[in-house]
Amino acid sequence: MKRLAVVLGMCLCLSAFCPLTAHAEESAVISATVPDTHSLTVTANEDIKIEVGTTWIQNGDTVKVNRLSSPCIMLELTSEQNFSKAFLNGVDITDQIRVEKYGYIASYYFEPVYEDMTLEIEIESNLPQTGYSNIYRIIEISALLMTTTGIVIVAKTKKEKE
Amino acid sequence: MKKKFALCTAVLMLMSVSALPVSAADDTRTAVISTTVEPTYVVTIPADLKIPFNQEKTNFGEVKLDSAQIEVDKCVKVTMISDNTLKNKADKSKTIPYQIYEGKADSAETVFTTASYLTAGAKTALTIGIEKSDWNKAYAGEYEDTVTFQIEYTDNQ
Repeated sequence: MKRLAVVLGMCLCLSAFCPLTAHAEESAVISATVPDTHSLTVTANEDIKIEVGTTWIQNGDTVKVNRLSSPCIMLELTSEQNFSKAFLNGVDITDQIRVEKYGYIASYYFEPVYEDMTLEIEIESNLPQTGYSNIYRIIEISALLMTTTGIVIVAKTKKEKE
Repeated sequence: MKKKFALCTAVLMLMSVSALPVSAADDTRTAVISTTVEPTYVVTIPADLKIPFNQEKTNFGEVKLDSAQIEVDKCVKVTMISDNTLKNKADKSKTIPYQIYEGKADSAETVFTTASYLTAGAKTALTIGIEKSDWNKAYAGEYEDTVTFQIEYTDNQ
């Protein structure tokens, strides 16, 4: 009987307090994944030798680089090629490219990589693209003038002798 | 004999109780009928969410009072408890800070901490924000955090 009284008392106490405030807790888990590598695509308007880290790649190739790493890219140019411009994800980084060895090597050290990137390289060629370049025209005209002058001189000399 | 006496006494007592005289001149009496409707409510909180990499604002669903039968001077209060830090599962020292804002991703600016609801249908859209600079600094790996929503039936202040 005592037990019943105690239980009843507890029930009454509980029922008296419960309506005042009621608590409940629920939770949600939020998550995110940060990749451990990023893609680096290198394109150039001419065929050049490209080395990323220690890997040689072709024009237009994509390589994986470790997140937050600072890889170096090397561009090997021929005597007929000059480095002109570079754009990293559309941003001009031309002034950050180091050109050395008489213009044959161009290199760039990336800032810690935190996203996928595209590096666009612009190369100027020394060779005439179509027909003769201006220097060839000047040489041609000079040769013509010299030949004409020579013919005139020869003709005058012949006349004087006659 | 004793039995008969007892029976007669019981019958008389019953009759005296059931046949109370009622006078036509009696006043109208009132009876108070009362009942208690226990408060009930259903609150929906946002589901688990995976934030896309490099996304600065991500919709986090909504806190909503779906149905409610609550007293006049009461409300349902939802309080959010969070560290505001996503922790790397492999190395807890590596973290990404975040904020939870009120409103949809395209307009969220006010930080959410608590909200009180009175009527069914009342809701608050939530958005998780991670700064671009914090994404850029984050080390590779899986990150996670638990957001707790404390739901209270309390006085409306």
